[in-house]
Amino acid sequence: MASRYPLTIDDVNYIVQLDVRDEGIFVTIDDNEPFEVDATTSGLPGLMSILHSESNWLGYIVPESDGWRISHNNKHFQVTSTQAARKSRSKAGSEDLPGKISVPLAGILIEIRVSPGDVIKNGDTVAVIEAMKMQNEIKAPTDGVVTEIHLESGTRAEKGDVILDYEVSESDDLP
Amino acid sequence: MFKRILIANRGEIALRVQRTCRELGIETVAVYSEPDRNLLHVRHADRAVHIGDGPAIESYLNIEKIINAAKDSGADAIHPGYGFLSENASFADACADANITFIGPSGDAMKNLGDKVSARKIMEDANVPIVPGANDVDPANLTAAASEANRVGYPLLVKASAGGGGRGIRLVEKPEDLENAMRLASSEASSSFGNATIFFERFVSPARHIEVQIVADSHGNVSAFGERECSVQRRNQKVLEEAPSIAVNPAIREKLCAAAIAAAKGSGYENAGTVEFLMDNDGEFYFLEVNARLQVEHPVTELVYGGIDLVALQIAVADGGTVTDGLVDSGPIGWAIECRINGEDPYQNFRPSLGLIDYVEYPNGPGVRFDSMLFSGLDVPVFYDSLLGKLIVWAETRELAIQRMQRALQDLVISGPQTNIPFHRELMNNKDFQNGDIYTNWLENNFSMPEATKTEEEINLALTAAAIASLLKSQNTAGQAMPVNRVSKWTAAARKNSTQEITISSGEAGWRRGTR
Repeated sequence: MASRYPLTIDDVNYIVQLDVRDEGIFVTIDDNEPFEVDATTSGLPGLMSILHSESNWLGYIVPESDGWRISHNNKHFQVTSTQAARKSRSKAGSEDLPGKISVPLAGILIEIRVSPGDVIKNGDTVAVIEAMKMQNEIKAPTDGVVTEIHLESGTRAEKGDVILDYEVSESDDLP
Repeated sequence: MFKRILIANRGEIALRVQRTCRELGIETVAVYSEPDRNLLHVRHADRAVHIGDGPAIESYLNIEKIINAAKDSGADAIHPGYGFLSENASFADACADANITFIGPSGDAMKNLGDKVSARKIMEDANVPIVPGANDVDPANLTAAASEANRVGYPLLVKASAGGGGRGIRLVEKPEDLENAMRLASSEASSSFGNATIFFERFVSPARHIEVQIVADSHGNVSAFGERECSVQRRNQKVLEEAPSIAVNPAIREKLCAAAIAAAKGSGYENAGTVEFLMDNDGEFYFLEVNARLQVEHPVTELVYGGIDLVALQIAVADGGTVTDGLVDSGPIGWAIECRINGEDPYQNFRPSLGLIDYVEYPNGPGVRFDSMLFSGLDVPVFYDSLLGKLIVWAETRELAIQRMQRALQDLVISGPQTNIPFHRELMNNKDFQNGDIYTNWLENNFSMPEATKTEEEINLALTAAAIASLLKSQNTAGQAMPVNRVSKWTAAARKNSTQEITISSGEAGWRRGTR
């Protein structure tokens, strides 16, 4: 069964698919031809050797909050998990003012699931945006009632564009 | 012979001295500051004494604490290494007062050579060529100073007599700039070194930095072990050294060594030392200064002089042993190159990069020596310099030594902080360097580090590794390391990473999937 990992290096997004079989690992990056690797770790956690086309790649992998820092050939590669970055952004609701939900990354807004007057709960999906062939759900950061929709589905949206306004519901457990 | 030697240093040089002591059957005493508790010199010593907190002024520069450590541990001699207290005359005197042998020159010899004007006078008396200049310049008498400057010739350097490490030096291109440069150099010298004395030197450029290794015994004999070429420098700091020099032929070597021997004899020098010269394109050389200690780059001399152990010689002459007077004729044989491996980022203007060493793999094989403090899991403390190790190779010729260094740099793997290994790899491939067209200002004027590039293959494999790590992490989330109690602040940040490591392994054999 293949696993799918959206990853970013130097602001470029990639989709990496791993198909782990008994005979080896098959890797597909974006829509390119799959290639086969022989990967191994030793007793030292973090150290990984990968044989690809018979040549060896050796790297040391350190986990970070939003991905991995990889040292290879005395150079560093910062690999961020696109999913983790998106999650932490929507969870924190960092850039959004209270009562507003905006687009976390540029893409095509393919679906808006709510209308004015709808009651939304913390964690409800209010819209879906597609970027780099990935669909990303945009979730409500708190409970509330939708007052106005600013964007239309099927249109391109830029990071930070406000999708909708809503009235924040009174809550007992204030932050 | 000494029974027990205290090594008043840390890092690779403390290990280097320990190794020789052990071979000679001498016990070693390490001293360490709080953040250095985990360093190898503490683990490898016969005894280890805690001497204070991280800042060097509270530990490795604290004369009283080190003398007390030597007394308490019963050491009968102290080896100062390089840096820290190695050229501190008060420390040498304090050792003598405590009846402990200081493995190095006397305090008086250090004082005479440490003052540049007094050193110039000693060399003049000993007929050692000095850079043409003017010794006693009175900053108040501008007319006299201007006529001295005209005699020396422009461009010239205004230098502080008490200066060092590139500080207190001003380049003057034309007469109208002299007054201002004198005022600045004099006030800088006064505030930095507490001594406003200045002097003039002709600006020799382009020049090579050539230095001669000497060992002087207490019976008036001085051995000279040929030259080292140290022209590859950044901000007056050496980054690569070699022996011999491509610009020195046997006739020049003989003259250089004779001058170095005369310098040592003229200053009453004892123990190992280095006499530094500037050399122009005609092979004319001028005395620069004496480094009254073992140098960082001493291994290149050891390798081209048949593997001689300079630390063993230092210990022997400190114990009253003798050396053969004159130029040592057992070398140079072949070629040796040393690359200083520093924790600094060559892609970001060499800014320091220290911290947890996740993983290190030492280079090995014929002709390779790696003098280093590194091991996997070391947190490199931030209090001291960025030297992590010295990669030294020997081969039959300079060309082969460069090839061997290229190979060894490829074998050396350091994961964690960014090191200057990519810089050294570029340097080895540089045509000027390969041709030996190197001068003290060459690196800063003629070399630029290319941008960091990532090939498609490197990106694909980094992505693959990250995906596999993500997969393994999701399969095994129960492997969190136990929290460690009572870590000091300096380790906390780095330790945090190591306790969050991905637990890829399951069982001793590790995890593996592949085409077996």
